Amino acid sequence: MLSTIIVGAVLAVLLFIAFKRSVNDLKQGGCSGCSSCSSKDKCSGKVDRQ
Amino acid sequence: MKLSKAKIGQTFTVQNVEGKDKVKNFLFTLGCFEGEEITLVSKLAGAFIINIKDSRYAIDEAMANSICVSI
Amino acid sequence: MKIALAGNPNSGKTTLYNAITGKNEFVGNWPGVTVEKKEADLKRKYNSEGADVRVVDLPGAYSISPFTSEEAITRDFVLGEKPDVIINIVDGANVSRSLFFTSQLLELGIPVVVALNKSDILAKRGDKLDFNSLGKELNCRIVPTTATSGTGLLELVKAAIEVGKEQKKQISPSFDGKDSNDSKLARQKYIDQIIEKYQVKSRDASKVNISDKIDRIVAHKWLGLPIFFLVMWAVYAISIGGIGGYFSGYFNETLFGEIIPTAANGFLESISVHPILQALIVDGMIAGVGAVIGFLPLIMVLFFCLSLLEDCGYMARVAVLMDRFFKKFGLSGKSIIPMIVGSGCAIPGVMATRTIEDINQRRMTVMLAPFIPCGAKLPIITLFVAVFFPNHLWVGPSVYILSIAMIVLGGMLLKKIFVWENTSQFIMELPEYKVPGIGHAAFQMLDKAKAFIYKATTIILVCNTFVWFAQAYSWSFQPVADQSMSILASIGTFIAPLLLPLGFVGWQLGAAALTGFIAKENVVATFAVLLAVASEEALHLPGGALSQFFTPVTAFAYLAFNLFTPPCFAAIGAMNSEMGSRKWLWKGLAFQFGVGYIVAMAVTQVGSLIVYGSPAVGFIPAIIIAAVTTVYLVLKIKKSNTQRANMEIAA
Repeated sequence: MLSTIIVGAVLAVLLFIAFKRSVNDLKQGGCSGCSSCSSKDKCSGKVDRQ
Repeated sequence: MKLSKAKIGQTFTVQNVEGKDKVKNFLFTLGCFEGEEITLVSKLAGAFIINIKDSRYAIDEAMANSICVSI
Repeated sequence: MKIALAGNPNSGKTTLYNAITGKNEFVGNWPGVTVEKKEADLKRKYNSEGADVRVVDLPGAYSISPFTSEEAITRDFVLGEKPDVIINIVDGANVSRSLFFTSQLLELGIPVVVALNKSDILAKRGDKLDFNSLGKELNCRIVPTTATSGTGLLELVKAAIEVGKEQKKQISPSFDGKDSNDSKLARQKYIDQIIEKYQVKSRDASKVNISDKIDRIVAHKWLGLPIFFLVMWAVYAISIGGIGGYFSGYFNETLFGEIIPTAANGFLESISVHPILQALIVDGMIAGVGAVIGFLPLIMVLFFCLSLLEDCGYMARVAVLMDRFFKKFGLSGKSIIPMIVGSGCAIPGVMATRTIEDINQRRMTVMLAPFIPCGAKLPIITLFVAVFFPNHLWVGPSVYILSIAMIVLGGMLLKKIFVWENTSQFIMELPEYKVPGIGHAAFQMLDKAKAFIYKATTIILVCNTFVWFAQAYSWSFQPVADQSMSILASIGTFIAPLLLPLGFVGWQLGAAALTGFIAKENVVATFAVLLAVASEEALHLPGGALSQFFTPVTAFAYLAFNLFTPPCFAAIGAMNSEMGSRKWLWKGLAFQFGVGYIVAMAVTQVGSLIVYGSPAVGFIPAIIIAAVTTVYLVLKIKKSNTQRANMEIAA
């Protein structure tokens, strides 16, 4: 039972982060998984977002 | 003579450029205008490869028709 | 302090930008790679005093008055946002042309520092430029640089910061006739003069060189096209069939097919986690995300190859080669570049259309470019080929041939439907060939890999979790024993009738296509989740679990449907901004949806008749739809013809 709660909590946090990022990317018209992208500002894979 | 009728490998002097202002202005900035040198390097796949100043450009037949040159 | 980088196209602005900011923006050897402005902080190495310096990279421009829409971005920034310093990158390979733009920049009053880039090429040619005297003549500092190796960049940045701190107004050089009516001509004459004075050329540029000799082969009238197809075929053969395919196969079948799920199941059971949670993790998250991540090696190899291709200078030649054909249906040769870029991702592809001058050609290219299968569609293609056509190696490449055919047919149709005057002319600079940088390509590849993983662990993960939940529960949040009672099934059933004329039976197909609009990888991921729960068979094996939904013919149709219907939401967003109007966006989406639907329908119905000798499900509705479409198109073309005739009378 305890393990379910722990694993569930970790999962929930992971999902929450993923969800928040996805929403953020969609809002900014984020592009994802791109090739010769000439505008990395729009790329969701970008690490240092301004 | 129109550039499209010119001989490959020869250098010419541009006499005048016809056509829309926008294209004319663009060619001008590249250095293609009256009195300047232009070389027809080759004809490839329906396009004309020209040399203006130090660069190569590919132009289509319509544009080659609009550039008048003399030797 | 804001430093703007401005200069002619393909003069190496982005290479210099990458070097001084430490970024890894995309560079390529053709004019018009950068179509948007980009900003970053100066790298510490170049910023010894720790000043607050932002560097702005701008699209290339030949002059301050724009010819194409990406040149307008440069003008608007320089005039509107007033950077503190402009670093003007002068192409060492063509100094005299670059100076035209330089002399215009000098008149804006903003301090200018000139970077004489590609100085190695200048040296190799044996040309000599007295840049000290030239600098005095122009009233600005000139620093010779080689951005690819980093030579001279320290000095350049130092000079720029110094000049920026002084805050002095730039004094422009004066020349005869500057204020006359024909100032443009006076400017060119002035530049010719100073070039004559300060540059000693030892090479005659008009002579045939190695690049020309290569061009005569790769852009040959007859050989050009076969060579292009051979090159593209090789790229895909290496990435799909070769090393990329090999590792992807291992990832899909062994790593994500057996090792990881078994390990996860074992671990979760050993700590006695609730079975529902275990199912969510293994069947939902790992199955879905794993099905996508499995394609990572394939994607990496593809991007590596594309990067090499883009770096060497071949792309500009392909544009020349294609112009002849593309003109026939109202496109420009430049339209091929968005399509090749689009084979990585449709979004930069759609944005690359900015280099096309004519707005109508641009709109058509925006509509057609997403037909080329992007990286996200590759997993769908590879999965379906692996399951349904394991012994037919031609099916994978045939998808690309089909997409090129659809671009040609679609282009011809659009030309018939839309009414406009086509007067645009084609001009493209041909850069000299260079040896592509392996290191650069490797960087690009790692970058894409990172983006791919990021995408799989964000939007794909979220979608999968939703899909798992939606197939396991009913609307009243009760777990269902049978998937067909679930939320997902009811959503899928809702759109299933629409897909019936295409021979697609089952709510699963509707649901998967729907998730595909969020991101195309989701099609694969959704099947992975649905089948991980419903069946024990592995997803990727030939004749595997997927074959309960498709015959080989309908499988191919389903592929076509996912390729040609409108791309993912992000790409639709890019289409919206490039089309310039909502009306055109809707036209574009309607066109794409129409093409995707009709092609899938044709493949299913005609294919079934030929291969199995009997029509597929939904044959009668399909005939009705085909008839209605034909009538609509005939009427539409007639209307356009009369419009065109009226225009000619008016003109």
